[in-house]
Order: sequence, then structure tokens, then C-alpha cells
Amino acid sequence: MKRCELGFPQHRSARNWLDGCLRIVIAVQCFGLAGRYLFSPNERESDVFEWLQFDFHWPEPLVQSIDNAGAWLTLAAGLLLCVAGIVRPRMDPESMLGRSLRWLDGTAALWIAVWVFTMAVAHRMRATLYADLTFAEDAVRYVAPLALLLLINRPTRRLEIERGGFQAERAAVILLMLAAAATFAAHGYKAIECYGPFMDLVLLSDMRWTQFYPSESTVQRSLVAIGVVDLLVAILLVVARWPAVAFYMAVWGGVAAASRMTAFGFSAWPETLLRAANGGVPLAILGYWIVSRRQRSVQPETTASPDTSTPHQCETP
Amino acid sequence: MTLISMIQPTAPSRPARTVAFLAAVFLAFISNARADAPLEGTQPAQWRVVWADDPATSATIVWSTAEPGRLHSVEYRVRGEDAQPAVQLARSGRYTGGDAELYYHRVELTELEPASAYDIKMISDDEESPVFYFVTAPPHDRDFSILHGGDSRSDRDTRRKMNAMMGEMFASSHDNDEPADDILAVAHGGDYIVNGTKMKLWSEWLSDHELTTTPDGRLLPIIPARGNHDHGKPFNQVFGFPEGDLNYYGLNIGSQLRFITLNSEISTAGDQASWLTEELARSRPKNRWLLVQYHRPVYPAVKGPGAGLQSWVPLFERFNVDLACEADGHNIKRTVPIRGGAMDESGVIYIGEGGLGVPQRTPKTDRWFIQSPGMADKGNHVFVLTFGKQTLHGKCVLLGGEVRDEFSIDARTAP
Repeated sequence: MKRCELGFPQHRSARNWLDGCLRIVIAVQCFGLAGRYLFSPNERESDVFEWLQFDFHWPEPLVQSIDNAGAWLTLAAGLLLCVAGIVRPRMDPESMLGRSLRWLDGTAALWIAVWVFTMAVAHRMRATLYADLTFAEDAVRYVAPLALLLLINRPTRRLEIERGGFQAERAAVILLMLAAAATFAAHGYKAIECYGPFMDLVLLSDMRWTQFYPSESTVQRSLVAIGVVDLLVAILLVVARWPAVAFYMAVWGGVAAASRMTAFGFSAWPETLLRAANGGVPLAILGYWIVSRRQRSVQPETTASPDTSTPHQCETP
Repeated sequence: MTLISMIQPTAPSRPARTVAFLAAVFLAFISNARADAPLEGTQPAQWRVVWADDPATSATIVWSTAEPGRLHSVEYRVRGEDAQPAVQLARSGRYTGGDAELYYHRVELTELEPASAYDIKMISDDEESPVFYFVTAPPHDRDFSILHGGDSRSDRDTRRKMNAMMGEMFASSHDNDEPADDILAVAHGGDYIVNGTKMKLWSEWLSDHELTTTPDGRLLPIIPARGNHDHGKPFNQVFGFPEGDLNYYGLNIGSQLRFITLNSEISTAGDQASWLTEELARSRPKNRWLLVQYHRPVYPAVKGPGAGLQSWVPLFERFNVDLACEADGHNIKRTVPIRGGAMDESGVIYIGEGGLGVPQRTPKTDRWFIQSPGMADKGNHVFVLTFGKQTLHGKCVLLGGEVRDEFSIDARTAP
């Protein structure tokens, strides 16, 4: 099994993949968030609303305004990330416009991370079942924009050469791996505990599509198995860094997110999109590893371009 | 065919406003004036009667003490009789949850006489509670009322006022010869406190629940449902359920009301849905009224629908449930009758969504199912549901006594 080295993936195409994939994943997540809190026929308020109103007794109009503003800004930030991802590579990064757009790009990513993390804090404070797991469970949602922020604010190529390192990318990949591991571990624990809504996802999806009608005990056993696998891949992603593990997580994260729609119908699309990072972050990691390796095999190691100054390695342990 | 007639609320008259104002002042006074039983040593406190089985012949008595004590029991006898009271020993244990040290004592009284008042006295070591009484449910077909509400978790002062108001309503309902308004129990749709694992919060709720007791010592039985904030072990200890109980159950109040409590906080499909199918199939032919209560709404006036929309609603409609009582949303709502996702005169009506002491939020009045003749509003409230031979009459009473909404549902078929 190939084991991918963590850092110094000096190939621009790998970095571009990471950057582009994260932008798409985050934008989809933002659209899901806006769908849940603004557009869906069943639109509702976030945990921030409930936290401030019910626990702090803030006036409802103020809390509603904060909640709506948060969702709208997050949507706008998600769109901005997409636009910046297309426009910025075509611009001179040292120009006034280039620097302004970079600042906006970073601000957008930071806002998304802050707002999604604030929602996680609010959910944690509301003390519902498994609230203690919230920070881990939602980790990919707020770490993905943070990782992108690191990429956005990485030094220019000239500075990279001067400093001789690629710390921002390395930190971004480490953050993403830890976040994906945390999210899978938290979900795995809940699955092992046979969390009721997870059981409903299986049972209602079956009722709607496959009609095998498994017994509840069968579903419980399946969830335990799923949970154990989740915990296992969470550990392996960090410790072993096998691409196959990231591939599994990308696929399963996508399936789990899609199960909201298979169980509750198309109207649950915001719930699926909001969880885009569950599979999207492992996908970003996987693609980054694959592209890095491919780039390395294409470019001779002796090529001393600024982007390949330190060889990236995928080695057999 | 169910026919529903809505009584649109009208502006209250001046005398009505005056009465409401005086009632509010009175309630505010008594809510502050009535002290909770102190939790000291083995002095019994936080008494409650729980209905979770056949309330005509059984009841669960639960109380708390600050210290574990050695011997706990209940003395009980039919009210007014001179016979020596029967004694039943309690099962005791320490509540699980946080640092608060508190002990529960639970007695399940069975083989009681239906429609009978029982004097009870809780005894923990050498300490005794005052003599209270409760009344078992009637076995026959008679008119009566129950209360329904939910969400008492985040505004203790309002919770105490609501409890005091319910106690007053409970007492006054038995002050006349009209049987229909006799309140027999309160069904609580869940979210008693903000964090179900914190015994300190439960202790406050339990002390506040004492306010529902009438001045002559009659205890208001509670039919509890579990809410999303009521996770953890204390819930079953507080309400006398066996450890690990899943908290979905059905009981008869009188011979013609089947009241089913569901648990929206576990898997709604699977075993619970199978149980519900059997329960509804068995109950529908035998009962004029079929009601369900659960925490998370399936037709919410705020938020998104719970999984019960997929798991339970088809069953509600298949077996013609008369009324679904919901909580969680912190507002007032009554839907139009719904069948197949559309308004249908023969459909199911959903009421809710919790106001027994929680900040209220503005409902999303653009949702189709709360358009007229449905309604939605906000305000701490409790529903009074009166069951007659032909009609179920519902009334939403706000804190202070104002009636915000009234509705009636005709019986579908003679059982």
C-alpha cells in the first residue's frame, strides 16, 4: 500500500487541485447552508438563533436579523470563493486589483469558517444529544475554509523560493486530514451508539427505494459495523495516509450526505449539500495526493523548478 | 368523515380583559408566594403521579429526597375510608446526572379501583409528606378534559406561572358539577429542561411541578413524552420508567380515548413504527378518540419536519388519528386537517408547539398548513382538550387566562 508523505507537495497542479476542490466543496456547502436557513420551503433558523433567543433571551427580531445576515453572508462568501477561484489565476497577483481580490478571497474564507464554527459552538451550547461531539462532527465544515485561507494567503512564488518551503500547503493538508478524521470518528461513534436519526436514514431510505424492510436489530448491527469502519478509516487517514482510505472516505462521505435525500426526498437537498465537505474534504486530500504523485512521475526529479524544489513522495511503508 | 368547525377568536370584552388581568396578577402572586417543599435530609419532596400504563387501575408515585435514607414507602387508601392504609415499599436510587446529589423513590401502585380517589402519603425513614390524593381514570365512557403542553425548559419564572395556572385550572375544573371540564391529567410533550443530563435543572423542574397540586392536595397526573433536550438517564428516573425504557406507550383514559405517546428522539421507523401500526390497528376500532403526542413536529410552524413525517404520518392517516399533539417549536399552532400532504376535511389536525415556560418565537405563517382555518401565533400556553360523546373541543389558553384559539373535531365514527 502506498503511503503519501504529508508535506511539501511542490507541484502547482496539485496545489491547484486542492485549491479548486476546496472552493467547490465550500461553495456547495454554503449553498446548502443557505438552502436550509433561507430558501427551502422548510427553512429554519440556525442554532445561533436558538442559542441567543432561548438561552440568552435576546429579542427575537435582533436574533433573526443576525441569523439571516449570517446565512446571506455565508452564501455571498461561497459565491465569491468561486468567482475568485476563476478570476485570480488570470490576474497579476501583485497588482492592486489582484491584491484586493486576494484580500476579499481570504476574508470570504475566513467568514465562512467563523460562521460555521459559531453555529457549531451554538449547537454545542444547546446541549442536545451528542452535543459534545459537535466540534468534531462539524470539523470538515469549518476547517475546509480555514485550509483554503492558508492556501490563499500562502506566500507568492517569489517568497516561496526565498523561504524554501511550502508550510502553508503542508499545514492545510494536515488540517484537512485531522478534520476529516474527526468528522468520521464522531459519526462513527454515533453509529456505534445506534443514533436514532442514523437508523432512520437507513430504514426510511430502504422504505422509499429498496424495500428490503430489514429489522431494527439488523440495522443496528449494520450501524455498528459502519461505525467501526468509520473509526478505523479516521485513524488510518492520519496514521497511514493511504490513498485508498481517502477514497473510501470520499465515497462514504458522499453516500452519507446523499442519504438525507434518499430518506426524506428531494426537499432535503440542503441537508445533503450542507454535508458536501464530509466527502469533499477526503476527496480534496485524495486528489492532492494523486496529482502530486502523477506530477512527480512526469517531471524528472532533477528539474529544479521552484515548484519541485523538494521532492514529494509516495512511498511503500 | 370528520367535520371540523373553527371558532375564530374575537377581541375580548372589557370584563374579560379585567378578569384576565386580575387572574394574571393573582397568578403572579401565588407563583411567588407558594414555596416549594424543602429538599432536606429524607423529607419527601418533588412529588408527582405518572400515568404510563392503565391509569384506571395503576399509577406511579415518585418523589425525591436529599439524602438516600434507608426505608421508603407509600401509604395509600381509598379517600374517605377508615381502613388501615396499605403500604408499598419504594424502589430507590440516586438520580444520574451531574454533581447534584438527589435520590428518587418510586412506587408503582396497581390493582387500584377505577375512578377512585386515593389518599397517599410518602414516607422516607421518619419523615412524611403531607397527605395528597390522586384520582384514577374512569373505566367507562364519560366526558372529561386533559391538558397538553410542552417545552418548559428555558424560562423558569414563566414555567412556575404556567404551573400555577394549570394547578388553578385543575382545581377549578372540579369545583362544579359539569363533568366535561374535569381535568384528569396533563400530557407534557417534552423538553422539560435545557439539558437532560443535569440533575440540578431537573430538580428545579420537579420542585416547580409541585405548583400543579391543588390547594386541597390533589396531584395532577402527568403523561410524559421525551424531548430532544431530555436525553440521558435522568428522564426515566424522574418519571419512574424502567431503566432503558424507550418511552413510547399507549394508555386509555376512559373507555373511549386512546392516548399514545411516541418518542421522536429515537428511531421513528423500525420497531417504534411497527409498534405504532399494531397499536393504532388495535385501538382504532375500540375508541372514539385516538390521540398521539410526541416532541418533534411533523408539520412545524418553524424549523423543518421531523422524521415522523415519513414514519408516522402515513399511519396517522391510515388509522384516522383524531389529533396529534406536538411540541418543540416554541409557538402556538393548529394546522388545517391534513391528508396526503394536502388539506383534507377528513385529515389529521396537528396542534402545538410548546409554551409551558420557554421564550416564544414567531411562527412562519406563510406555511400552507397553518393558513386559515388553521392558525399560528406565539405565547406561553396550554391546550385544554375536552372529550365529549360527539365532539372533541380544544382550547388554547395563554398565560394569564386568555383563550387564544378554540376548535372542535367531530367524532369520526361511533366505535
